Amino acid sequence: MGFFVLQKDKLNDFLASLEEYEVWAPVQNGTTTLFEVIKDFQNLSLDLKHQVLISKSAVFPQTESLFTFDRNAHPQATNLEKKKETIIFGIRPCDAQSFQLLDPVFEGDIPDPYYLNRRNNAILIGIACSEPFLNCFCTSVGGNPFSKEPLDLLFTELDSVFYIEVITEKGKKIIDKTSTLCAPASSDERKQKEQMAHTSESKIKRKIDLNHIPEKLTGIFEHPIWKKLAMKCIGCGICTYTCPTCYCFDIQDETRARKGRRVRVWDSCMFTEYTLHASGHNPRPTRGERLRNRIYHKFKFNIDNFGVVGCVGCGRCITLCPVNVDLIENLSAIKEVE
Amino acid sequence: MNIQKLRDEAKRALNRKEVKYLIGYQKGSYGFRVSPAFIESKEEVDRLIFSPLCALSLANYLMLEEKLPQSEDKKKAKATKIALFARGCDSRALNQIIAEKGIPRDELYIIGIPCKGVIDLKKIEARFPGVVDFAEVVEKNGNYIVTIKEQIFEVPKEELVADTCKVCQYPTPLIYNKLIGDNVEGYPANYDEIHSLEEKTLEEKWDFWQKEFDSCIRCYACKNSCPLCYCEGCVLDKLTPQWVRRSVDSSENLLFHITRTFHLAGRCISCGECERVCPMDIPLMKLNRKMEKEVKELFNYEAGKDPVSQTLLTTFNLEDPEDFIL
Amino acid sequence: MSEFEPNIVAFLCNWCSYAGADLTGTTRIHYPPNVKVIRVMCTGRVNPLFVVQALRQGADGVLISGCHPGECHYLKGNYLARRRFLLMKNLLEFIGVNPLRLRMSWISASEGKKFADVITEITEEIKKLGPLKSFKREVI
Repeated sequence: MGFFVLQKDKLNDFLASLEEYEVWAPVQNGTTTLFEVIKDFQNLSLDLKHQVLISKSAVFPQTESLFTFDRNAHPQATNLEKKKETIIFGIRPCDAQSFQLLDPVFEGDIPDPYYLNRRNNAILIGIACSEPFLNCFCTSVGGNPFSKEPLDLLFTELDSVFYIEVITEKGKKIIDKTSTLCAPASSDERKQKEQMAHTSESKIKRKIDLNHIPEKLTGIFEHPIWKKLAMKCIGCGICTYTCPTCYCFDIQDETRARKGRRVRVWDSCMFTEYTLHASGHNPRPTRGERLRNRIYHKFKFNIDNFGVVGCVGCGRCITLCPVNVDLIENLSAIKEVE
Repeated sequence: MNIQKLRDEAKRALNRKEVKYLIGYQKGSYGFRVSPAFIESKEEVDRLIFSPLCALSLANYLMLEEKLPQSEDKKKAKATKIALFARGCDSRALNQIIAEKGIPRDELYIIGIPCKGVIDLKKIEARFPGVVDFAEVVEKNGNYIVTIKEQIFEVPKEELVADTCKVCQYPTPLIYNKLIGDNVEGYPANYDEIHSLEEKTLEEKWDFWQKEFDSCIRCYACKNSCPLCYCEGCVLDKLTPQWVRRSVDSSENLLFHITRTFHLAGRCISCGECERVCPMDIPLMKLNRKMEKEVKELFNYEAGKDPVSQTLLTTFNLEDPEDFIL
Repeated sequence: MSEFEPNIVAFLCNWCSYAGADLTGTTRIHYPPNVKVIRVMCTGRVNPLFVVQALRQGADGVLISGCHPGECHYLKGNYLARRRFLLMKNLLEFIGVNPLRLRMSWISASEGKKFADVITEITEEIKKLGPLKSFKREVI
């Protein structure tokens, strides 16, 4: 569909010229990076050292108001008409893959209008991963630091330019709109990018062979290994909140006097009260059961239900876990179990 | 501190029939990480390590709900004690928990380790990025000797040590059954960074905290990693009545942190875990150390000094300050 | 342009301050009507979270008033409250909320005049500070 280049120092101009769109991008916030609607392009940060970046916020926000109600009037559903189309800029190929894992969940028997409204109106512009992070293992889950699905445009950072690959019609529209800033790519630049793609894949340091894990998991549901693996877990929500494929949510009513609203908020299967019944019974009372559930969900149930492994190998859960609960280490331990 | 002496003491502790298991440190799964170790049998003590990379608070694990499954012979022996390593801050946490009747003293076998400070993982990973192979660090003459594969680097301690450790007043444990290692002198109380924030105007303070709490994602890592946050029905989780809503915005986040800070007033022992685990780098220790300074100045109280003292807010002094009262 | 009328929430202990406030009324002493009274059995019962929630949900100032030290009906409730609220006030100041919005007073059952004076003083001060805009609950 076309290959273009954009001078690196023109990136802010490129994004600023797309003012008819709402642009989500990584934004510098002190020592961390947030992913939000960008107002000041000076704060754009593609140097994702901290890697917290929670890209799923763009399609599945942490707090979403479903409808408001008032004792004196009919409930008012949130207006889903978007005034502007959205551009989601600066996500890595693994984060883009995660959108493909979230789609079948929210497009199921009863399509979720809140998610679909954001997802279908979004144009995805990814940044290829030329320097994978410490705990990246995307190649072990069928991914690749330069993979293209389901992006519309893929940027690769070369020495002085961004090499842009147009993948879909939506992406082509963006290049047409910014044609004054982009130039066609030369075959040298194309070769550079191919070389980078090749090198980057070899830079992935952590690997795990996921063959036969679903079969293994079928047999070890009651095994004592789960208690052992979860001993160090403190039950915070970091792994689930920063995971691009986690989508569990809670629905709460917030009321005050005669008014209120119903919100959907992120929930975490690692919290004790996640499966707490009103009777007081909890089918997952200990951390062992909750850790087991998380691993089964991603590495067995997702395959059973949707045919793909439910993990994109971004490694955030490993890097950010405060007590070093390491998914790769746990999966290796599971493989060793008799 | 001699690691062999530590392992021997761990072995002796596990030999005692009343000890269920031991909580210590072991090598992590990659690079500079360190993981907690739960050891039931004395054959496994060689897994135990202690180095400047050991930044976790093990006291936290005492109050997490379930305990390790006991082997049959331990059950028969009616093992009731848990052995654990405790640095200075951990020992104060234990003192405070015992004083609050959270856990009886005779259920603990504490192996005290005087601590010279731990390394901030974010700082060392920034200094040596991309290290997946196991790395080791020892302290020598005010420097850290970092060994990665066969390469050795020497880094001044100042550059890598955690900020909380730079103002630590009690590095030597205050409560223990056995002490392994030499006494370490603490620093005098230093609240300079609190003063600099106190001197700002109300608007500046508000803007500062508003910006910080804007990025809080309410992952609850601070609450879960805190050794003193162990209430079974935490007010911040309650639904009937609901104090803090589940929706995430600055106002609710502010309420969450004000409540947590207030509930830790006179109980926080400045281990710095909350700030260490926060994925959004929120300076939570500023809030906790402000309360620490207040309770010292106003009520001459320090948390975790001994296991029998009264707790701050269940007692009073007839001479408590009341110049603010009309 | 109408003048700003602050919302003051007052937690009054049943035995001393509430009775004192009653006395203010029966002796026909005037005081600003901005105060909304919540009767509690003792100031020791007042959870600091009540104060924080009040400020977030519309109050511009909060008063906690109880028996004089040594005279608490439950012996020591007011001593415990004294410690608690000094800490909460200082914490709120550190966050950026004006400490003059959280007040305490000792008002006994016979001090009707004092109650009126305290309410008048607090209302005046908070009128000068203006409405508490920043600390409000954001949605609903």
